[in-house]
Amino acid sequence: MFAVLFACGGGDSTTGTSGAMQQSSARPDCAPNDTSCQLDGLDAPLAVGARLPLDVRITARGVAAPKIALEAARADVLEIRGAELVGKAPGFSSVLFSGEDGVVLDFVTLSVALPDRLELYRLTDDGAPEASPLPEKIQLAPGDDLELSIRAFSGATRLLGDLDAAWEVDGAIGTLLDAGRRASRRLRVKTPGLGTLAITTGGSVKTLTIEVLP
Amino acid sequence: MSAPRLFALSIVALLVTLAATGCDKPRPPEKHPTFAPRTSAPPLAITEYVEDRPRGLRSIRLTEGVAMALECWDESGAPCLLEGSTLGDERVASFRRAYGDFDAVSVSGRGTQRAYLNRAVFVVVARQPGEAKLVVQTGKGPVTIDVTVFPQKR
Repeated sequence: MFAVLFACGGGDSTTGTSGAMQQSSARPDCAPNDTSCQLDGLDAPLAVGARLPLDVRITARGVAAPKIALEAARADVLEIRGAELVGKAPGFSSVLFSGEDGVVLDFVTLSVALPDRLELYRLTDDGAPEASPLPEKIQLAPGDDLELSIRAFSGATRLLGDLDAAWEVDGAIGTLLDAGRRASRRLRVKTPGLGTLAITTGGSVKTLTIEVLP
Repeated sequence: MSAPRLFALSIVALLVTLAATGCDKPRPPEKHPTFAPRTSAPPLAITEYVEDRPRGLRSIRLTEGVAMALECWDESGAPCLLEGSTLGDERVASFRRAYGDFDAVSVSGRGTQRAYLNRAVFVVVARQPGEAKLVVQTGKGPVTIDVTVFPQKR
């Protein structure tokens, strides 16, 4: 399936990950003001079960905006869904960037890793995660509204990609809203008390204790 | 034997030897297809090209899941045509033509005749462990390369 990724010729090759043939630059598709994402490339493995939208730019001389198709060398490790990569199993696979005629323009090799823990992050208004994850317990006031996102880790490495997850909160203390931002929910607390937010993905559960103070 | 006679016999012997070996005619330069890798392997993987020309052996060795780009020239030094190249078992590895952002190469320059041709690059994609035969059509005849794919270390 062709991914309609319009790559700009002569793109900025100083950001993102350079292709093996030095003719492209690839990075996760980022929120506009997520600076670390904009500057970083594919600098970590993709989590098993996570989806990663890819931004590919062809930087070959004189090449302007070809339509690009993605192809994974090992479909059992990496699946291609349109312009997204999906981690299927641990390992690594090259991802080819090809033009409409099937000619390979460049490729990168990505690793896929199994997460061993989950962390919860508060998102800024621009959709970027804060620098550090939330602790096990937080205190809020009635009416507080914050957007949260779940991220996968393997050891000290924060893995790439957005995980599909089930979110639940004690109904008494607040409400979860799905505003449509990938792998995140908006939590709006209303009633003083103590409650738990639980996020379940791939057999793992991450909990956050929320104390709503009057 | 006198010195002049000995010298004359030596000259005759030398001429006979030269005539027998054909040293009086210049040998043409060796011509053969040439392949050169254009990418390197990521960590924990291998992408290697090995050739033994006297025995006519060429091989590409890859770790499963990785791709490797190579450039090709035919026996006259011109970029290979690549059209019609095949890889025997696509379950093991795939052949893909590739685009190389390289300057065109001049392949002739006699008098007023000169041609600048696009360089010929192709990619071999390792899918699963095994062996397969890659037949590259150079434009001056096919060249067979053994492709071996090794498993990823788990």
